[in-house]
Amino acid sequence: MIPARSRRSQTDRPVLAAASRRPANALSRAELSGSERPGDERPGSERPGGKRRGTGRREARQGFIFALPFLIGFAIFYFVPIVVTLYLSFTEFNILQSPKWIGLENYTRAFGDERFYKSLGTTFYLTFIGVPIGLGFGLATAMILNLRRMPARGFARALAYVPAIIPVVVTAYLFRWILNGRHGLLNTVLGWFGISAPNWLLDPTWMRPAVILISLWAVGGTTVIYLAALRSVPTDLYEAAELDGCGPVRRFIHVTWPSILPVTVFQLIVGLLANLQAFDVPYLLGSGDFNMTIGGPGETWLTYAIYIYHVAFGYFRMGYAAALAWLLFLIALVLTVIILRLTREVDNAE
Amino acid sequence: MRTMTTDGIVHRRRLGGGPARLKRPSRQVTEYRFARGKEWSALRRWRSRLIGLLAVLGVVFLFGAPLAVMIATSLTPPAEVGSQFWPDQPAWENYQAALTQAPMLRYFMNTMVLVVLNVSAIIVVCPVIAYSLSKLRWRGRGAVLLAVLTTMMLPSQVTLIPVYAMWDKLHLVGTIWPLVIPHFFGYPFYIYMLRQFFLGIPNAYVEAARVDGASEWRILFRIVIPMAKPAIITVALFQFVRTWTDFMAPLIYLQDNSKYTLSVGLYSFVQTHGTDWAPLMAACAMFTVPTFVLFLIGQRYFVEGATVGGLK
Repeated sequence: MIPARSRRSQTDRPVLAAASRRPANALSRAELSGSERPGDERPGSERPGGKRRGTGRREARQGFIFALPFLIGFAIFYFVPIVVTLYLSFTEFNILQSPKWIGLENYTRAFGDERFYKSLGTTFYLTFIGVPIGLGFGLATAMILNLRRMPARGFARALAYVPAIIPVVVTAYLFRWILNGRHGLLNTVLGWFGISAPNWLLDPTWMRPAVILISLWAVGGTTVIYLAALRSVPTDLYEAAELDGCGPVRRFIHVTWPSILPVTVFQLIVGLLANLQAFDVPYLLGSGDFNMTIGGPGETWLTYAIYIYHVAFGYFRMGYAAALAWLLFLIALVLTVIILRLTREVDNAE
Repeated sequence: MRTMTTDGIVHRRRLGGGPARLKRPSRQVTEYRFARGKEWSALRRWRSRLIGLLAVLGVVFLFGAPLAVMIATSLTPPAEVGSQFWPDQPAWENYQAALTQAPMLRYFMNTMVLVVLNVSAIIVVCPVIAYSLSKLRWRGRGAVLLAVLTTMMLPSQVTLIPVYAMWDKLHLVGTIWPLVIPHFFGYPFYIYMLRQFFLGIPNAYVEAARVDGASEWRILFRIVIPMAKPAIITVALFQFVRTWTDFMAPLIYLQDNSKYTLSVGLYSFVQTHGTDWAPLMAACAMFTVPTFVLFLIGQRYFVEGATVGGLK
C-alpha cells in the first residue's frame, strides 16, 4: 500500500528538508542550554575518558573561534549600541557636541508630544490591522495555489512570489501610480463597476488602508510559507475527515487550521515585529515631489520609525530619538512576551 | 490504494469531533466510494477544473496586473499617459529618457559593488558561525544561539543612533563602508538558517573526518559546505535581493549623488524631478529586471529559503 503523500513529485519537496522536517517551535529550551544537554546530536559521544577530554577542549576552543565573528559583531552592532541608546535617551545629543545629561526630560517630552501619539497610532494601525489581514490574504492565496486541479500552477506560484522581492522603491512608486486618484488603474477598474473610489493617496481615511493594500501585493513570503505548511498536512487526515462527512469548511477548521497554527503564530510574531518598524513604503509614499514633507497629507503616513528617523536626522535631536527608540524596544518586548504567553496557554488548553 | 482503512481511534482524536458522529472507516465505505460511479467523478473533476481555472485567473490578475501596468506605462509616450492603458506602439523613448536624465548606470554600478561585497562577505562568514553553532560542542553555545535569535527580532531603530554616531566618529558616513562592514560579522537570520540546515547533515560524516584527523576548517570546507550548497546558494540569493532593494540604510549613510544606489538614486530623482510617470516606470522596470532574472534562475532556492524562515 502506498501512502497517499508519496504521490507528490520529488521536486515538490524542499531541498532544505532538514529544517522543515523539524516541527514548528522545534527550538526547545534544552537546545538553547547548549552543550550540557545529555545525548546531544552526537550518537557516539561515549568515547574513552582521557582522549575525550582533550578533543573536548580543542573543540571548545574551535567552537569559540568559529563563532568569534558573530560575537564581535554582536558586541559592536547590537549589545553596546542598545546600552548606549539607553544612556543617550537620558541626554541631549546632536552628534557634534558630546551628550549632555538631562534625566527623564526626553521621556516626559515624548508623552506630551502630539506627533509621538500620532505616529504610534499609524504604526499600531499598520501592525494590528495590517498583519492579520496580510496573514489571512497570504493563507487564502496559498490555499488557492494549493488547489489540486489548477492550470499553470507553477507560473501562478512564481507570479505570486515575485512582488515580494521587487525593490521597495519600485513598489512604492508603482502604487503611487496605480492608486492615483484620476488616472490610476485601480480607480479606473473600480469605475467600470460603477464604484466611485476614494483618492487613496490624498484622503486621510483611505491613506492608511492604501499602505495595507500595497503590503498585500507583496505578501509572497507569507504565501510561500503557508504553501509549505499546507503541503505538510497529512493527506490521510483530509481523507478521513471527508469520509466522516466533513465539508470544506469543517475540514479547514478541524484539519487545516490546527496543523498550520504554529506557523501562523510564528508569522504573526515576525510580522508584528517587522511592522512596528514600518518605514519604507509610508516614507516613499509620503515624501512629496518637490518638497520635503514627511508622512503625506495630514502626516497620516507618519509611522513611528519615520518619526524616529526624522527626529534623529532631520532635527539632529539624537537624544530624543534614542528615547523614542527605547520605547519602541519596550513595546516590541512586551508584545513578544504577550504572544508567547498566549500561545502557551492555547497549547495547554488543547 | 488509499490508506483509509486504518483504525478510527487515531482520526477521532486528531479531528476533535464527537465520537458519535464519526463512523469507523471500514472496508465497505471504501468500496462504496469506488462504486459511486464514473459520472459522479467526472462531474466533480469538471467542477474542480473550473474552480482551478478561475483561481489561477484571479491570482494572475491580482499579482500580475501591477507589473503589467509598470511595463505598459513605461512603453507609453509621455503625452498619452493616463488616457490609454496599453500603448498602440511601444515607445522606447522613456527608457532612453530614464537613462539620460538620471545617472542610472552609475547607480547600477554602485549597487553592484555593494552586492558583490556583501554577498561574498555573507557566504564566507555565515557558514563558519553556523558550523560552530551546529557541529561543534562548546560551553556558551546555547547563549550565543540565543543572542542570534534575539538580534533577529530586534527593531533596527534601537541600535541606529549609536551605530550612526560610531560611523560618524570614524569619518565613514558618506562612504559605502557602513553598508558593507557589518556583513563581515555575519547576519543573524542567515546564521540561523544555515545552522538549521547543518543540523540535518548526519554527524557521522563529521565524526569520520575527525577520526581521520581532519581539522575543523577542513571538515567545514571539504565536507559540510559542499553538502550544504543549496542552503548557501539560498543565502547568497537572499542577500543579493536584500542589498539590491535596501532603502533605509543607503538613505541614512550615503549623501553624495555619485555614491547612490539604485534605491536612493531613484528616490532622489523623484524628489528633484517630480513624478513623470512614463520615464519613472521605465526606470522602475529596469531596476526590477535583475531581481526578475535572479528569481527565474533560482526560484526553487528562494521558495525553499522562505520556507525555512517560517518553519523554525
